[in-house]
Amino acid sequence: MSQQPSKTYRVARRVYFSAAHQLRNQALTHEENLNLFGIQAATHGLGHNYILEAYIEGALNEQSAMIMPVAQLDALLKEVVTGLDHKFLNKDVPYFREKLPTTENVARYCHDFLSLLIQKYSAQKSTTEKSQSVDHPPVTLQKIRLYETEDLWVDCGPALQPEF
Amino acid sequence: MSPHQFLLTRRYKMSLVHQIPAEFVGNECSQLHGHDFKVDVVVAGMPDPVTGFLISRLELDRIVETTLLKPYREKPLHELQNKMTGEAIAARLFELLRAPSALGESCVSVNLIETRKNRFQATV
Repeated sequence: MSQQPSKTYRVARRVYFSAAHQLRNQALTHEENLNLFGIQAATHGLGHNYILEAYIEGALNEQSAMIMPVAQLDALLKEVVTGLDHKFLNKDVPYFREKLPTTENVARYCHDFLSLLIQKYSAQKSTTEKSQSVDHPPVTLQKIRLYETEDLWVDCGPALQPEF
Repeated sequence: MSPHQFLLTRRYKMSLVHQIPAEFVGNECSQLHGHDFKVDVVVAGMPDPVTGFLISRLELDRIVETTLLKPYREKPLHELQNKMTGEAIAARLFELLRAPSALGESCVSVNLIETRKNRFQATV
């Protein structure tokens, strides 16, 4: 079957990290926090095994039959989660000193960080990739999905529709 | 429908008994049987700056419990709706959640997983 370079392809890739968080707004009373966040306001915090999925899209490189070398995508994903893995998000990650590390806000953090890395990767294509043997075209981040548990996840991206 | 920046999905479980009229299916689905349905409720919005939530999980769970889980636990499916296909169940659950007294327009989809082989979606 011949490949059509003009088509858009999508790739989803997962990375795993584990972290603790506590959902407690310091401006609210203990009772208000319990009413709002339930057990997630527990003073000692809660831990999760998060799954981060990145959905990227781009054109296919016919030589490699990939839109982006998977090792490079893994490296970017690792850069995003290294600062979160085995951390207490509220205390160890400066971003969450002002924002509560809800699934939504952790998803936004991961999306914005990865989006920046993908943009840098794509911008470098025009300058450095020419010297390399395989020239992969630029890619864009369509969305990320962050699973906090198998029963709760958040999608974050610029233009989302409910998926089926 | 306009695109969203955040979609939150919470998965619930409903164990239901159903039956599809034999005239529409030529298989075992015409017998009275049941499934552990998974119900994915999808909510759209922007995180609240104070709580960081699109919607409080306690509030979401309360609404889904009173709107879907409790009524469907307390009565057999055929007393709640005439048609009992996956499409009809998904459509009814979505309709109930879209009511202003429930989640309203923030609920943008209900995905119903019947078995490993099939699933259904009701959306706007």
